Amino acid sequence: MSPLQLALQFALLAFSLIGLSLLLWRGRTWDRAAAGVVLMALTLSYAIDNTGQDGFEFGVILIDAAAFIALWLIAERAGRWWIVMTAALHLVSSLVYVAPFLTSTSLAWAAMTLIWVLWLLTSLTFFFGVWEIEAARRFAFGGRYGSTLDDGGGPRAAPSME
Amino acid sequence: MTIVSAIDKLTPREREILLLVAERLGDKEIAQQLNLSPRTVQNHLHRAYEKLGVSDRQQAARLLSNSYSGQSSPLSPAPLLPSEQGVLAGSDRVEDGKTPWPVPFYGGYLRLGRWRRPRRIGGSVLLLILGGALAWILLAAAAVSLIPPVLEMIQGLR
Repeated sequence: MSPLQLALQFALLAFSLIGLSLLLWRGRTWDRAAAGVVLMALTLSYAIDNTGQDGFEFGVILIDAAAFIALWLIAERAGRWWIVMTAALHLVSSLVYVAPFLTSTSLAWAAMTLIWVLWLLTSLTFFFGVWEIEAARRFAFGGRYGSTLDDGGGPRAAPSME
Repeated sequence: MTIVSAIDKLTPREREILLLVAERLGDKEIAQQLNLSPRTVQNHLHRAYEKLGVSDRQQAARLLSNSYSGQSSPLSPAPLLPSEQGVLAGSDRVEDGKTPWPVPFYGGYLRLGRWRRPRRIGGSVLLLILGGALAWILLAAAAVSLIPPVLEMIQGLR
């Protein structure tokens, strides 16, 4: 891996960890559970990757599939879009590893780029999750907390119901 | 007791349920969205009726709606009572005592209506997940299929 790729990988990892930390801090029980699942999947993927054994991709597929199932079960209960989106992205990243046309040597680099793009999208989903959690929290308060640029955040910013 | 002071006595969860009532959601739908039992939703609603001095859901929702849309004096920010910070009913924690952060595009969130939370299709969100995954796969396939012609074009320009 070139120094540029390594730097990019660390930047993506840091971006993901910031998003996950915010979710663990600001989220409610199911948000934290989902963030925990993603964090565990990320850690295990790295651990398996670093062992350097043959067929490590099978392990990554297994971890991604298990994470997908866990995220799906959490999404059923949590009622959060970010968890639905993260589960969908996990499913896609699992499929990328098994897609034969992508694992062929000619398109291996495309598969790697795709995995990185998926990782970036997943990280962006974490920040979307933080926004969703805060918006839902403010909604539960009747829109009375948290001034915003678009509506001033006063009582009149509360959801119109008629 | 004024309307404002009555509404300030509502817990965040009671307000949340009343807002969903105002969106014409039934008890079962509200329970599904908030991951509560229908019985817990009914308990919250009855407690809200008592606090607002009304007898049914329409009156309660209308009262809350009027307080938000027609008040001349702003509602004072309701500090969380200790009782509101913990368990209100059943085993569900209503709020965790965190004050919401400023939320950009909150208006957009409100405009989502019932889609603020993922809707269950056939009793599950699996179809939404699969649909999302399919959309990403199609996008990725389109991107991958575009790569060779783009590379050829770049080489042609050189």
